Amino acid sequence: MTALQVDLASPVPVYEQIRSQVSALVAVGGLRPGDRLPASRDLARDLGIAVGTVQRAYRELEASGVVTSRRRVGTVIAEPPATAGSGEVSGDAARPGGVSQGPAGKPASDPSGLVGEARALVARAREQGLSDEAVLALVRGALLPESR
Amino acid sequence: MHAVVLVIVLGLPALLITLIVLLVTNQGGPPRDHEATVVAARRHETRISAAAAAASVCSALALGNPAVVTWGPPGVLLGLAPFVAALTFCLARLSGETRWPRPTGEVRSAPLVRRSVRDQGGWRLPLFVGTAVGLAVALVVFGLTAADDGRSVERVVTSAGGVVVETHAAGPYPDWELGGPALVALLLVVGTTVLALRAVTRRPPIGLLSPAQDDAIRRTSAARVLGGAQAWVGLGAAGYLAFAAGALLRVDELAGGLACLLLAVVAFVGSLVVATTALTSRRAGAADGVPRTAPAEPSA
Repeated sequence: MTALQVDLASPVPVYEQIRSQVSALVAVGGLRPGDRLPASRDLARDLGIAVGTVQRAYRELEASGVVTSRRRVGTVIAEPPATAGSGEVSGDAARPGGVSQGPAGKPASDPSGLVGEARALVARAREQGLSDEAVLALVRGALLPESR
Repeated sequence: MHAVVLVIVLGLPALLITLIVLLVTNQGGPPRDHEATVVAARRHETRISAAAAAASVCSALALGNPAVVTWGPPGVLLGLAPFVAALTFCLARLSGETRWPRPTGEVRSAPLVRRSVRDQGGWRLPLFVGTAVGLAVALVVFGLTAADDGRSVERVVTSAGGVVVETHAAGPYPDWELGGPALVALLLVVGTTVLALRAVTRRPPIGLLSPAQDDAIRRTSAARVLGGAQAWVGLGAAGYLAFAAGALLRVDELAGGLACLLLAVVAFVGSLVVATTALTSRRAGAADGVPRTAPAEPSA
């Protein structure tokens, strides 16, 4: 069962924690196109936070094309666009704490094995005692253009 | 006497529910680790269920005993006893559901799954609704087929020329006088059951538990809400059907009488079996768990 976790004491705003975790789950296939997210009111009650916080996270996810909101169905993980493979880098990859999602932000499958390699990287980093922040810094560093 | 009835019908459940709230109130502070949380959560759930069951049995015994309460036409209170018991059970469950701990602490988690009353109710929900609808239809049919005296059923034997040869009548038969209040009570029971299920569905996840374990406890709660309601409504249905069967068989309406008798046995045994299956706690990862995520329905 897919779950998300927020840290109210974190310097990262709670809405951003929700947004980045949903984006990350979509990136690794934990959430697939057509999956329904809980209603913002329900998720807010479950987490004991304000409804507006969840609504803001959902709005941001919708703006980046990760989810769509339908009147009767609610918030649903969006279908990946047909233009996948264009090499475009999503906005998430550029944001601190964000998740690289591949073209247009939401790959639904792992045809190139990148998700498996990312998991292997995380496993190796944890074996070597690296923190999650250190792993993220490593990936962000690798995303930067080489200056030499 | 009406005042005494009101005091018992309203006061007894209120007293019992107050006792339940006191019983399930957390004592000794929140558990500190994962295992202790699982044990505490299951104990809390079992306490709610046991207290609700005890309260419902007490209210049924009070209403069903003429030495304790006498009110209205004969048999009305006895006929209402199962439904009042179901109401007490669901109200007690509803009260107990509000006593779960709220999300606290700085790190909080929640499953990314849409929970609905239908998902949590599982196969028991359509069975309960089917039983209630079936009983409502039976009560309406009994009301329409009752004799003018309101307490019996008649079978008129006519000759080939249409002349009335003889009339057979037998009772007691669940006419409008008995069936009307039962229909209203049944409606209240269905509404309260849905409210209790809604409370189970909307309860925030228990801290320190994994989503799968929280889901298992939630499904246990939903199964027990429906199990209790099913047991009492099934018992009520069996009672009304058995009375009708007795009267119909005495006026030689064999087909109707036997059908009612068969349905009474099915309602009684079936409901008790369903209630019994709800007693055991659901385990994390069981086959009847809710799906990982709920896929979207096709848009209209």
